[in-house]
Amino acid sequence: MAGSGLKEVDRRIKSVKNTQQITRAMKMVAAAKLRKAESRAKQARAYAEEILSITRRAVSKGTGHPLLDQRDVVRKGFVVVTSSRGLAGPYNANILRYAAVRMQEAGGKDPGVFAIGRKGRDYFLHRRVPIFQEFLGIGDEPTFHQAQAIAHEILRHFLEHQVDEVWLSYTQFINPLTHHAQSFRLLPVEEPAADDPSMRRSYVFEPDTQTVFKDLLPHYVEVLIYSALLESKASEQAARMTAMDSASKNADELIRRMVLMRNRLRQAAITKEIAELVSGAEALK
Amino acid sequence: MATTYHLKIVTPERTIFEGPVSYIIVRSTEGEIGILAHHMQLITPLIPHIITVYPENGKTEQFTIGGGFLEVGDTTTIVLADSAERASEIDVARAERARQRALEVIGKVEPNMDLIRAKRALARAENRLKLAGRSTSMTH
Repeated sequence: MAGSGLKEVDRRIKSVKNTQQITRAMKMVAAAKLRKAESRAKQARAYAEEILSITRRAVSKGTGHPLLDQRDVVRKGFVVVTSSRGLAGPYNANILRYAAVRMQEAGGKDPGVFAIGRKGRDYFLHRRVPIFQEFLGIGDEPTFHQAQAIAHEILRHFLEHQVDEVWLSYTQFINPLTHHAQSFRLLPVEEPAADDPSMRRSYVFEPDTQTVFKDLLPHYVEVLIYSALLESKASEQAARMTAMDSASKNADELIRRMVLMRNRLRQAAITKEIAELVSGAEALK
Repeated sequence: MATTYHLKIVTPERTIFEGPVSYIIVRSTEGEIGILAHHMQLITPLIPHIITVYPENGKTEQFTIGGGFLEVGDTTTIVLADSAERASEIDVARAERARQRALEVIGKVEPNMDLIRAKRALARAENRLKLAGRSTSMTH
């Protein structure tokens, strides 16, 4: 900014202040949305955890459902949950980088994605990764209905052999400052660790395995998608809040420095004027 | 041998009950079943019904269950319910409206209407009304 005048600096200060007002407002909005998203995610967590463990235990004791097919030649599909809006700090970059690494490790035939959120869609489109299906416009409050629609498409792709394994990649919310990208195999359902105490005895399925799996497995996919949407949404709001907070702080620092510079410039101008006056008066003597 | 076991009733919205119980009565697609401690391990779908819970010590409790699954495990039994309410939480007017709506759908003779869903909705509404109505004198 060397050589810029007083007016120029004033204009810049004003501009940064304006931006700061926006980042402050966005922080407040994100904080309010975070509270809601966090409580929704936490309330849904118990159910999702239970259905995950029950389903895993159930599949280890009974087989023979099309959704449990272990296929030899594997084309993996990745369900990647991102946001549709930016300005959320490293939120989208983190999950996308994580998913991209998982896909590189995946092997098998060229993996594809089910992109949830515009950021993920754009990312994979740009990198020419095959997209099975995209789901945009989830909004700030994901509904179970939306999760069902997504689950429906995933189940269809799996049953039609367009994809042989489905992995779910999303951002797990821990607390407003901690959330991390993670993924697990959604289909075929993974079996539990062998040291689970319930594994020692056998299970009875009533009326029979087929009937139980027919209801349980699609519901399992729906619930886990729903839970992933809620966890990701809470993480997104938390990331945005943090990003906007640090943006506001950066603006403070920027303003502080520019005010200092403005004062220096003004002082320099005054000194110069006085010097001129004095030398002018001197010359008249 | 313990005569109680740990029961959890979980819905997508919340965990409505968690604690030691000695006995519960639920209704699966195959009929009504009672679960005591050391029941065999079991997984079964549940139909909309009213579950009765006998806690280890304390008052018998009843909840409406809007369908779901029951898993009887080694030491823990879990009811995964699509929805669950105590008698005091039931919105009677809403349940009554839902009942009327379901009856209308069932009454109409239309192709491709979802009879199973309507019947489930009716069962849920009637369970709510039933439980709300007898919340003062609970007998099973």
